[in-house]
Amino acid sequence: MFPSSTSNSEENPPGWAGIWPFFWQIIIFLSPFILIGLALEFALWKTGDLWSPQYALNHQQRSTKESLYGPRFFSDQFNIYKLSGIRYRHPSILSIGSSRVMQIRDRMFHPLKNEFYNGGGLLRNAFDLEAFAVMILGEELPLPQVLIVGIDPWWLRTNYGKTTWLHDSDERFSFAGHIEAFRQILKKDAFKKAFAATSAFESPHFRYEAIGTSARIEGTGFRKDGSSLYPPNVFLEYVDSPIYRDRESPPIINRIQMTKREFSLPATIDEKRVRMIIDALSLIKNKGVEVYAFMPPFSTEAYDALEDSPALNKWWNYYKHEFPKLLESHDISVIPVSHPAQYELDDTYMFDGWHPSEVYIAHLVKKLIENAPHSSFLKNVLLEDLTLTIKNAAIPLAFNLPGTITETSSN
Amino acid sequence: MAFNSLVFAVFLLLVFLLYWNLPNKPLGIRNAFLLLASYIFYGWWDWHFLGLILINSTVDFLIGRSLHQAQSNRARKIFLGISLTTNLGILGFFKYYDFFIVSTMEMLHAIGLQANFHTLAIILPVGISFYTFQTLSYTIDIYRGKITPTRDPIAYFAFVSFFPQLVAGPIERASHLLPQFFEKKHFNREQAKDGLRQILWGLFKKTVIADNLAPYVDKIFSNYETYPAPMLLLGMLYFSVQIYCDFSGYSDMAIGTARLFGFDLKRNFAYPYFSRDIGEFWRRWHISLSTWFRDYVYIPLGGSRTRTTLQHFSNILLTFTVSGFWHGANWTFVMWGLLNGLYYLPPSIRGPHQHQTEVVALGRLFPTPLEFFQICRTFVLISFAWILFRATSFPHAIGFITHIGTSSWLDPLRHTKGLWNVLLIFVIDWVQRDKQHPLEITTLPRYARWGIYYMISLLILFVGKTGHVPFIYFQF
Repeated sequence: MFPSSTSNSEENPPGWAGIWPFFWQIIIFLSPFILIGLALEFALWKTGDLWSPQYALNHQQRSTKESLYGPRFFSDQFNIYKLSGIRYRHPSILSIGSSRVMQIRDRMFHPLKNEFYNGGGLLRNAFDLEAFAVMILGEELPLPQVLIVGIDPWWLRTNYGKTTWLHDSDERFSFAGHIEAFRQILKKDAFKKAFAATSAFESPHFRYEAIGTSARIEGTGFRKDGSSLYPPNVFLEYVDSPIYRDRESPPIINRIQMTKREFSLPATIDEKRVRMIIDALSLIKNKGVEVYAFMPPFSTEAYDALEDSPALNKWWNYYKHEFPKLLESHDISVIPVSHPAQYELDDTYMFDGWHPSEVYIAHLVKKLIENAPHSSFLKNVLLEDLTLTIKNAAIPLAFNLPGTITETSSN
Repeated sequence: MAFNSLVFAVFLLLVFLLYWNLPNKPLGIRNAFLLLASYIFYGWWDWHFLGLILINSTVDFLIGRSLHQAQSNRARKIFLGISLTTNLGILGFFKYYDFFIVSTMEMLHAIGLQANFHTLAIILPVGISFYTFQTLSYTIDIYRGKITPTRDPIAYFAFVSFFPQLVAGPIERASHLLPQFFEKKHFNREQAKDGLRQILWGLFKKTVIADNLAPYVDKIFSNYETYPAPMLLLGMLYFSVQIYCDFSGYSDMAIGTARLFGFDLKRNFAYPYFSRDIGEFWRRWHISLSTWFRDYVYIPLGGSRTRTTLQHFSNILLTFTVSGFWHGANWTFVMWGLLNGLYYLPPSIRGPHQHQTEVVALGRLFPTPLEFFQICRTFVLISFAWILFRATSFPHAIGFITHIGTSSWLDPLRHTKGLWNVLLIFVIDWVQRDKQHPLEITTLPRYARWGIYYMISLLILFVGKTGHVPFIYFQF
């Protein structure tokens, strides 16, 4: 019924002599893939995207000037980069959490600025916090004196994240990771950017030393202190037109109103995850660390939408009222969730519905230091200096503008 | 070490190079090398389970010899009994122990009795169902006098653990594969090239078609309550194509890999979704398992040569139900098998001489309206049964099916991108349905062939799912 496709009985001489012509044909067939692959690998190495996060971090930290790390063609493996950063810097003041704490900067802690590191982006859910606590307790990570933990409301929800990514390995060592990078780089615009990045060694506008295509072309990435720099074009855009824009896609207000993604239904509290967070923070605190639970702010627009959403109301209120009380009952200090209006600011101090600017977050850090107990390590920070930094901020989104931006604005 | 991983590609290259550079004489050297390679391949998952293959192989090798030498019928039966008990005992313990414990507790609970037995949370050794059936067929065939046992333990052990087909088949018979370990092998370039083509095609089906449909299937099946009826039917269609491309893709890669070493494995799939009735489907789907159940379960039960039609029907239903249970320790598989058995009853009435075997619409571009209707009917029935196969539990399956009947039919379709995958595989399969595999295109000029190979390779590289997505049948 189904004839065998074993074709003729042509036999070849044994050993290499027999299989070499076969092999030769395969090599000829594969040669275009091999050549293109090698060229792309070389380009990725030149841009810095191919550097392992540890290697890039070591290079960045050893640099004598400010340096920006922003790869584009491998997915954002903040976990490896930030864990390496914590180990390298051995900070006394460490902030961790999602991208919503990434704007806390070393300059806010003068004269302890060298004692600070921002691990923002390291934690995405309650499982990550638990894994982080295990690493701290197991001495896989150095113990800080002060730990500021950004806790997002969705960490308390059922079904938000199922595992931790803190133990993920570097995808630069996986074949699939490279295939994914090739797929991205071969897209039209990306190819142009990668090509330009092979010969650009400084970020645009701020002119930092730059590692990775995003850092070299868009000027975005992580500074040496672990804080994140938004693309300078965002600041330029603000200078041209100083209004609030929600730069997330889809905008946070839409996600809240349409109950999508982080705000999807059913928005129920997962007691197990709440317990996990409390336990993790308590265990770290018991090691003698000052722990501050930091509830990152929302834009006034997003905050109001959360207040007005009947579907999300129960979860939101728990996060806003009961959860802080629970933390305080475990002797953990809380910086409550806020919105700019509470600090006499407006939404232009937000990059989008849930990412505060460094100026806004400086207000929150100031409040945190003010409220810290007298014995706190944070009391060594010069509040006057921080107040001055806030006061002298160039725009609501940033303390400083790069020279080119100033020139643009003055023009 | 899965076929769709880089580590396997490296392993295959090394084994291939070393194998063909080993001397052809004595034969044992190459067989010993294949055995070693197969054990490394299997041990890559978990070396602890190598012990099970060793036990199965040793028992059946010794039993095979003893069976052949036994003088009395009673002794032969005892030896066969030992083989069956050992093989099925190991399989039963590792695959079904927890299932029986849980099912017994549930049954006792249903009649008002409280029982608290402990489950062992046993990890299922990969491929155990496949190699157990392979070794069983060896002893049963010796018992039946169909084959004589081998005296060469290395060849026998290599036959049981031959790495291309060790973890998910095709389930080979000793009469077909074992003699190939005693042949002097010379490298055959055409055979090796055809093997590579079949590997390429299998990889395409797995990474481009099956793995890209998998996320849609997972979404639709795990949240079926939130989807309207047309989406559930789409999920059913996607799963039908996913499981076909996943499993037949694996079989293609297994057959192709074996051909690189000069071995011919049984064909396992023959364009099953172009079958005109259920009987034909089961002669084209997972052929090595279907024929195993036919030869070692259905025929010993009496097959179709029974005194009453009822007995014939019960043989069919029993064979299909056991076949369903072979797939996994879950009532969903049992019910899936039973449903297929029920499907099989009407065509079985026509008798064996009525079975469709020839390629549908051979020599024509399109099928006749009748053939088209028959193909669609068979596909719908089979796809419906796949719901039971894919569901995580029986209530899940019932919920899914009920929801098709009760939810809205007016909501717009989403996740329709996957339809391109469905269309692509159906068109290619249809055009090439008279071939062993669709890349059997040796009559085309070289530039056309290479153009097709490049196109498929590019699709794998740029559209195929990256990262390791396990084969569905590894869980069996």
